[in-house]
Amino acid sequence: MTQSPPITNAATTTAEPGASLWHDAWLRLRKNRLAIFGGAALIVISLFCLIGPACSPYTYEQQDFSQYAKAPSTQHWFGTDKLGRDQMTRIMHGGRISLGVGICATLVSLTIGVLYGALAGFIGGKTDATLMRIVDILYALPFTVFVILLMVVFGRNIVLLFAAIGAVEWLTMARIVRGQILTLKKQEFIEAAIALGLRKRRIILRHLIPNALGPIIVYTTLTIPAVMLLEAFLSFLGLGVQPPMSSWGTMIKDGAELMEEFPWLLVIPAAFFSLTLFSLNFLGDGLRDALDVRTSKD
Amino acid sequence: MKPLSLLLILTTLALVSGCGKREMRADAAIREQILLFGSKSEPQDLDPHVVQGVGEHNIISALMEGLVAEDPKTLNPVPGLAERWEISPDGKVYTFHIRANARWSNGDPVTADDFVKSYRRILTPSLGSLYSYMLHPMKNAKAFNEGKITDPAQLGVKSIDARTLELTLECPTSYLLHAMASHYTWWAVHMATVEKHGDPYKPGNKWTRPGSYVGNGPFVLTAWVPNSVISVRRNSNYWDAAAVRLNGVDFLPIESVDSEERSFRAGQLHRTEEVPNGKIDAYRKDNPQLLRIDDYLGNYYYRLNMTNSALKDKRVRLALNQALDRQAIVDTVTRGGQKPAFSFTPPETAGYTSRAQLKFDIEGAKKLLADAGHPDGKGLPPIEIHYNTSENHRAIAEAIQQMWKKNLGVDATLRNEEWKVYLDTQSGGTYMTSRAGWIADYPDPNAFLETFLSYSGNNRTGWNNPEFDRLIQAASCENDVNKRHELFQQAEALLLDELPLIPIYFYTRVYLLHPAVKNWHANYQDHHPFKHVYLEVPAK
Repeated sequence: MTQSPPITNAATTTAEPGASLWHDAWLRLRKNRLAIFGGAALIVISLFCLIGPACSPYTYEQQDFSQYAKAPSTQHWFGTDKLGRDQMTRIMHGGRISLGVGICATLVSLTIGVLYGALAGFIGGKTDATLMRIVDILYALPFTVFVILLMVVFGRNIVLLFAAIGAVEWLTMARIVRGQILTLKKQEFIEAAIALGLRKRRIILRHLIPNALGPIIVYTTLTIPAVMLLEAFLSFLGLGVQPPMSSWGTMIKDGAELMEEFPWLLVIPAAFFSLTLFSLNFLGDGLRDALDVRTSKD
Repeated sequence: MKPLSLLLILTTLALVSGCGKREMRADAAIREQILLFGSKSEPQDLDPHVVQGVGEHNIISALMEGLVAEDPKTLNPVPGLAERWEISPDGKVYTFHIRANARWSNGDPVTADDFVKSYRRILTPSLGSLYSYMLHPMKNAKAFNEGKITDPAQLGVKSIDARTLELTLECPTSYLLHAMASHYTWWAVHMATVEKHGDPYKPGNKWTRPGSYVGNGPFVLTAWVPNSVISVRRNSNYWDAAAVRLNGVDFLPIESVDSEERSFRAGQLHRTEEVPNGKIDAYRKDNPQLLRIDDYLGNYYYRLNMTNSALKDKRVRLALNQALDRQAIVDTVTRGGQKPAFSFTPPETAGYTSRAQLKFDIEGAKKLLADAGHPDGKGLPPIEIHYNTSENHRAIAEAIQQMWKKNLGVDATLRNEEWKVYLDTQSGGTYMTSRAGWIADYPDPNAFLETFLSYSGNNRTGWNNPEFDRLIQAASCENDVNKRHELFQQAEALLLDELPLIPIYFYTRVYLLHPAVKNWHANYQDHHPFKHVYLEVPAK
C-alpha cells in the first residue's frame, strides 16, 4: 500500500529490481491477452506496411489496364482497382500514410496537450485562466477552415498535414490533463513533494503526469482513429493525400462507392482499418489498466 | 468503423422500406408531374448573358425561350417566340415576327425592343460576357463588343415595330437559326427587371433570384436553395402554356457522381447527369432499361496554359499529347462507348472531318521531350492537372498522370475544385492544364473551332494566333461549303500543330433515366425541351 510509485521513485536508488513503474506495468500488461494481441497485431500491420512494398512485384501507382477491377487471385492477392493497380501494394502504402498520420499527429498533440494542461493545472491562478482562455479561443476556430487555411498558406504537403492535425488535436488533451492535475495536486503525495521542496518541473514530470497517465492513454487511443478519419476527410476535400498516393481512408471511401460491383475494394481496406483501430483500443485499454496506479492497488 | 455503420444503416433502411410501403419521391413526383433532374453542379448564375456551362443551359432553357425554338427530336429550328421569319435572298437580313400572345412571366408583352436591348447588353464590354462572341455574326457586333464602336445604334439589330425584329448579319451564316434556337446568348432578358436590381451592364446583378426572375419560357423560377434545389413551376403567361405537360422541374445539384447514382436508385431522381464509370457495366447487364448512352457532339479535352513557362515549348505540348493512350482511357476508364479524340472537331461534324490527326507514339514523344531539353522529364516541373470535382474526372486524371509518368518520366499532380471556383481559375488562367469539355452549340465545325479564337471567352489558354483568327473569320463569310471546310482544315491543322490543348475523347452522353420520362429523345446536343417532356407511370 505504501508502495505508491512516486514515493519509491522519490526515495531514489532502491536496489530492488522490478520496483519501477514501467516494470510493474509490463508485468500487469503481459497478463492481459487482448492487449498483447492488439500490440502484436499492430506490430505485424506496421511491418507489413513498412517492409511489404519492397517485396511486392508491383508499385502502388502502376496501372495495368488489362487487370480492370479483378477479384483477389494468386496474381493479385487482394485484387486490383478500377485502374488495374494492385490493391495489396496500395494498402501497404496507404497504411504508411494512415499509421504515419495517426501516430505523428497524436504524438504532436500528446506532447503539446499534456505539457500545456499540466502547466495550467499545476500553476493555477491567473496563468491557468490565461492558458485555458487561449485554448477556448482556439477551440472556437472552425477546425476544417483552420486546416484549409494552413494548407493554403503553406501549400499541400504531407508532413505539414501531420503537424496541422496534431496542432489542433491537442486542445481536448490539454483540458483533460488540466482537470486531472487539479484533482491530483491537492493529494497528500504532492503536498509531501512540495513540502520536501522539490522543483516544480520535477513535480510535474515525475509525480503529476505519471499519475494522470490513465486518462491520457485512453484519450490517445481515441485520438489516433479520429486523426485517421480526419485525414481521410481532408484527402477527400483534396487537401490531404494526393492521387496516385492513397491512404486507407481514401481507399475505403472509393471502395464504398463500388461495394456492390467490386466488394473487395471496400472489404479489404476496411478490414485493415478496423483491425488497426480495434488493436489500438485493446492495447490502450490494457495500458490504462497496467499504468493506472490507483486501480492496481485493489 | 464508418463502412460498418454505413452497412448497418443501409440494412436498416432496406428493412424499413421493405416493411412500410412509403412512396418514393420519384413516384410521388410522377403523379404531380414534377421532373426531378440531377444537375450535378450548383449553377454559376441563371443570367443567360453571364453563364458558360451546359448545366446552366438546362435550367435557363426551362425559364427562357428564343425567337426560334428546337424540335425535340431533330433540334431543327421551329417557331418559338417568333411565329415566323423571313430571310432576305442574300441571306444577310432576317426579319422575325413575334407572336401577339408572347408574354413575360410578369405579364408584359415580349417586344422586339426587348431583343434589341438584350443584344446590346450582352455585347457591352463592361458586362464581360465570355460567350458574347456567339453574336459576332451580327453586323458590327464584334467591333461593338471590343469597344471599337460605342454607338449601339450601329449594331445590326433593330425593331421595326413592337412585334417585328430585323437582324442584319455581316455575312450569310448557315447555322444562325440553330444557334438562336439552342443557345441562351441569343435569348432576351427583361431589361426593366434587370435595371431594377442593379447596373444591367455589370456582372453580379441580383435579378436572377426567385421572386425577381422574369422569364418568357414555359416555367418560372420559384425556389433557389444553394447546393440543394432549384425549382421551376408552370408559367401561366407562357404563350403555349396549354401545351406544357409538366407542372415543374426540380433541379438537384449533386456534385458527387456516386451520391447522384445512389439518389437515383433510392427513387429521388428521374434523370442523372452522369453514371460512375465503375457502374456502367453493371447497369448494362442488370438494368439496361435505365441506362442511356446517347451520341453527343462534344470533345473532352485538357486546356494547356500557354503562358506557363514549362509549357511554352511546342515540343513539350506535343510530347504530352503523344504519350497518351486514348484508346485505353475510353476502353478501361470511361467505358461508355466514347471514341478516342485525335483532333478537336469530332469526325463527320456536318460533313467535316479533320485531316490533321494526332497520334499515340511513345518513342516520338520521348524524343520530342529530349529535344526540348527534358530527357526523361528532367527539369520539367510537375504538371498540375486541374479539374472540377468528380470521381469520373479524377479517374481519367489519374490514368493520364500515370501515362505521363510511365511513358515520359513526367510527374503530374492533381487539383480539384468546385464548379464555380473551377470556372474562375480557368478564366483567371491560374492553372497549368485544366480539364474541359466542349459541346457544340450548333452542328457545325465552327462551333468547335471558334472557341480557340484569340478573343473567345472560352479559349482560356492564352493562345493567340492571328492566322487562326483570320482563317475562322474567312470561313464565316465563305458560302461555298467545300471552300469553307478547307479553311477549317487549315485552321484545325494549325490548332493541332500549336496544341494549346490535349484532346482526349469524343463524348457520349452516359446517364440514367427513369422509364416514366416520356418525349425524351436522344440527340447530339442532349437538349430535351422541357415543354414537350412529361411523366407517365410505365405500363406494368
